[in-house]
Amino acid sequence: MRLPADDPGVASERTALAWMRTGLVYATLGGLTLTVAAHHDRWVIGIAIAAIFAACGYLVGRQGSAAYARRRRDEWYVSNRRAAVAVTVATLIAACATFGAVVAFAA
Amino acid sequence: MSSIETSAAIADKVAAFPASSRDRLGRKSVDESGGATSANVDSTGTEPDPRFTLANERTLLAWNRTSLALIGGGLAANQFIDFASVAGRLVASVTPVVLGAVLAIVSLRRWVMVQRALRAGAPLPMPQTVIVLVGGICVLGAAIVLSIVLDAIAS
Repeated sequence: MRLPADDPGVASERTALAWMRTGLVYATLGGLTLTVAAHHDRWVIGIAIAAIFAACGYLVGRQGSAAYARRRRDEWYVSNRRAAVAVTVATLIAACATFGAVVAFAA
Repeated sequence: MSSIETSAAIADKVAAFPASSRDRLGRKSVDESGGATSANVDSTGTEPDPRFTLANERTLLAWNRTSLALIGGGLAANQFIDFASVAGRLVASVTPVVLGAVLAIVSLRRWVMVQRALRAGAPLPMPQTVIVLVGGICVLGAAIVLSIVLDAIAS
């Protein structure tokens, strides 16, 4: 579906920014996990979990910018189920990784 | 600049398409895209105004950020709050992480339901995510209070 002819298209820009903000949250969470792991002197598990978060953050942010570019190019705006499922799976992966970190550091 | 089309402009666009490719509100069907493919939520109904689709996508992302905040909060509680027992620490840290995971799943389900409602032109469904969030926070608060009381009794 196309935007109305007189629409400036800022809704798409806001959506792209929301994707990038979400990506930054993953990266921040990765930094927090790495800091906590370093505090406990468990670098390996910290780096592993931070790498998972960084990958999730990169992919989510990339999805936002790619979708924005695609929508601008094609001027075609439709729902994207794969992206919605992907961001949810990324959050579930983050939850699992944090759960592992919490249990490991609490012991 | 107005972001809403005038009635005359909409009527002109509707008239440009055959009756079979538009619904009673004059919205175009997805099949007239001319080849643009998409992973739509549902093939029924018509593709809604793109601004509604994008708003629904942003809402999903906002709920995901809320989930991530809960997950980060669980990790922070684990590290930065002193508990008398390991059990209390785990209750205060694992519960928000689990709540964050549940919220992410519920928000995806809501995104699908809202997108289907938009396509069908139906009223939006009840926001279950809010109920899950409020209920989860109540459970978290009760669990933390209980662990504090049990720690106090044990000591």
